[in-house]
Amino acid sequence: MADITPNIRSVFETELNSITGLPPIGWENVNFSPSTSVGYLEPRLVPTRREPAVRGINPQILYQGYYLIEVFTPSGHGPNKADTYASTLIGHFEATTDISHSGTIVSIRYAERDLGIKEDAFYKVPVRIGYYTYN
Amino acid sequence: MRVRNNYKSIKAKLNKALEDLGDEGKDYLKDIANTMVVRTPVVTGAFASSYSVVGSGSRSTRSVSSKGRPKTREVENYRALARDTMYSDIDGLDILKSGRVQFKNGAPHAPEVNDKYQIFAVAKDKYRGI
Repeated sequence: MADITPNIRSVFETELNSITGLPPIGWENVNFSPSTSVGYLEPRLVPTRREPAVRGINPQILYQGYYLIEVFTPSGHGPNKADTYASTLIGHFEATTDISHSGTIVSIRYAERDLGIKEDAFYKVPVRIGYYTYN
Repeated sequence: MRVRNNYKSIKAKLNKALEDLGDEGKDYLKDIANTMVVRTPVVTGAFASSYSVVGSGSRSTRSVSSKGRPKTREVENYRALARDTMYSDIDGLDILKSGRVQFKNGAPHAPEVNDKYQIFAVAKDKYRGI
């Protein structure tokens, strides 16, 4: 059975691209030069499982993992902007909802953020959107 | 009517069940350890040498710095070391008394490595349940 990880990525990227009010996005493996005066997002797909959902012949395949979206805002201006972006993302990808694109439906397991840390000229807040789907 | 006191047999069965429960718990922890090992990058081996698995309240942490260490080609040897170290820690745990188990990496550069390779976050995603 063909791997649908690229389809899962398309679902997330399409959905992320549709959200208004977010800073520029440095898409995965695409050249991007962030400005130190403007925030940006850096998303990556992190698959963690691709395995049969049940034993036996012709099982559905379970895909599981998370979409990591790192929120970067300029350093030294407090956490509020990053917090706002993170909350927007979590609210949009809320747990137990589904997102879809071109026939692929992905279910959201969890949507959470981690602590903010300073990284060079930016303040970074990681957001993790856990997902699963069957094919 | 005779009533037999079966206390010793029941106690033995309960102890065996608790022992099996502990073994199952350790197998589960070893699965988590394996998930981390396969994602562990090896450049100098410092990060791979710095894993610990400890029970609640323990402050012990292995910490090996990469500063001054030469690059190594023994990638799988260091991954095997990481696995063996964590397995040994897990075998030494009293699962039923521990209450909480922590996987740690005390290498000074662990945050950067973990950020790039998402080692702990992947393990958390795989084993967090529904």
